[in-house]
Amino acid sequence: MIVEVDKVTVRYGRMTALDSATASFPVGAVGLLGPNGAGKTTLLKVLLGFLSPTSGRAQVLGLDVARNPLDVRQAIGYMPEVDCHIPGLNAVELCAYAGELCGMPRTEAIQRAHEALYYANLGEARYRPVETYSTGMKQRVKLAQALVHGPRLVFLDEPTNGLDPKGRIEMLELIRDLSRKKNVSVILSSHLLKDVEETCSAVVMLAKGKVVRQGSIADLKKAALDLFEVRVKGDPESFTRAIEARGAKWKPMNDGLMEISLLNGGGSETVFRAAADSGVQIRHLTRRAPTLEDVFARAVGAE
Amino acid sequence: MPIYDQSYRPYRGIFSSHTTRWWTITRTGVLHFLKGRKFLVFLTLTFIPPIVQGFMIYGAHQFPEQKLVTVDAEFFRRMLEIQTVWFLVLGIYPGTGLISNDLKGNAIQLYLSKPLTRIDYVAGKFAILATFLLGVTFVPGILLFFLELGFSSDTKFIMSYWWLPLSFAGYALCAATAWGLIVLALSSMSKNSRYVGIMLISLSFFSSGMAQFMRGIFNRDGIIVISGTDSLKLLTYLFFGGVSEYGDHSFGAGVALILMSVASVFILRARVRAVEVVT
Repeated sequence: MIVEVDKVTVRYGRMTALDSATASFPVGAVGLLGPNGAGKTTLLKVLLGFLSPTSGRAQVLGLDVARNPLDVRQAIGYMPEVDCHIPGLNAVELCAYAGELCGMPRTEAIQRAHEALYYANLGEARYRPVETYSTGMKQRVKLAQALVHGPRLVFLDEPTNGLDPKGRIEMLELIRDLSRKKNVSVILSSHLLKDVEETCSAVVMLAKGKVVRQGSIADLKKAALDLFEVRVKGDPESFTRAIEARGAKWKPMNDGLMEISLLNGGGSETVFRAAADSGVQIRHLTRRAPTLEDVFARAVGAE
Repeated sequence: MPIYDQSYRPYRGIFSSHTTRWWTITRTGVLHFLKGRKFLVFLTLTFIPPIVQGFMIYGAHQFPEQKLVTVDAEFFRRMLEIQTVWFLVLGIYPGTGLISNDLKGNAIQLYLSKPLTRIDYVAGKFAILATFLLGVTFVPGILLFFLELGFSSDTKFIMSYWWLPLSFAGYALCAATAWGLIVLALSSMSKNSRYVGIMLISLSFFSSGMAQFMRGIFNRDGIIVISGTDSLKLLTYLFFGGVSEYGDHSFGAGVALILMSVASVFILRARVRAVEVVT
């Protein structure tokens, strides 16, 4: 595990931002998912040593964050969510400066700055002052400065925020490349399920400061729930009442179809029994593969 | 390998020790300001009073019968008092933007996400300003001291004033520390360096005016130490001897500056954070 969080609680006055959160982040790309205000950024700030948890402990790359915050920050890179730059510097100067702040010799830092900026697709624009950049370019600079010192792990906080569709695809491609080809583990904090699904192999889901699901995306989907698309002939209301009585949830879809989630399992037999009890005919029944969104909705809904 | 052929690769080089990271901030900051032509012109201007005093030393030795000037501790103290005027200008530029510009660009989070502590960050920023403050006090002071030493034909001067370099160093360090911390604390209070500049000027003139006003009301000269800029001038007497027009309040000025520095440290502690916690 690259990151382990053990019963971490963070309180801001009366508000609890993280509530006894326990999670393990495996090597590779891991998504930190949650709706806005779920505690994702707070968790990252605990892992960076910016915030001291009220209770609990966190380890990054085997280092206790509370005891060795500087060693942790030496070994990782951080791309903040907010727009940030050092005024007056161009992208090369900013990245080289970031490298020097990590302890790299100046010449090495400058060379690595060029490499990191090329890698982030900034090319010739790298000599322009950062404050003149578009949002997408600023995101790339933030990524480059996080990578300049060659970290083993990077924290990316909402890296696709403000990007146009093309920029988003390129950013996600970079993240995939980092974790799959460059041997850099990534913790991707996002509220965009699609971004996480496209780049990560595992996920930690947060809701209201609690970890509600974690594990590999494939396993979570497999264990998620029975999902069916159903069309009935007869009184659909009596059918939905019967299906709800069996602990299932449903929602209407196009074409008279309804999506049924069998929270307690039971498979297609449950659907047929509900149909029989309510006196309707099943005219269409297909099992649907659950998406990360289904897993997430159920996890957050349960919370 | 040309850079355009290179992709991202792991860094296998060495990292310097954590203890010297603040120096990176200082070096980069000082070089950044020295690249500015206007700032270089300004720094040159700060040397005009010491150059004039250098000519006075020259004149005193070339034409001793004219008794142009007496080169003693008071001569050097006056030089430092004049040079302290530049503190306000240096406080405005580059001082006011040192932290406020970082606040404006959300850069503090960027700094502190590197292996740096808040103390490293503040020390690095402080040392930028301190370098320039020492540059306008200690450097010309010590140069004039050696100029006088060079012109002296006997050992009378060195025997009487051997302690002057220590006084230059002591005063310059104390004044630069106090003023540097005050300016940094103000700089950390706003994202707009212009507002910080206005705050600094207002505070300097207001406190000085208030000190004179209260001195008149209470008829107590010691009240003058509530003004930071006046305290800096009074502090010169602590290191070079003599008594000011307000009487001997150099010790009180020193205490006042210590209190202002401590207050500044508390402000910096509260304002320089990687995360702003609002409860």
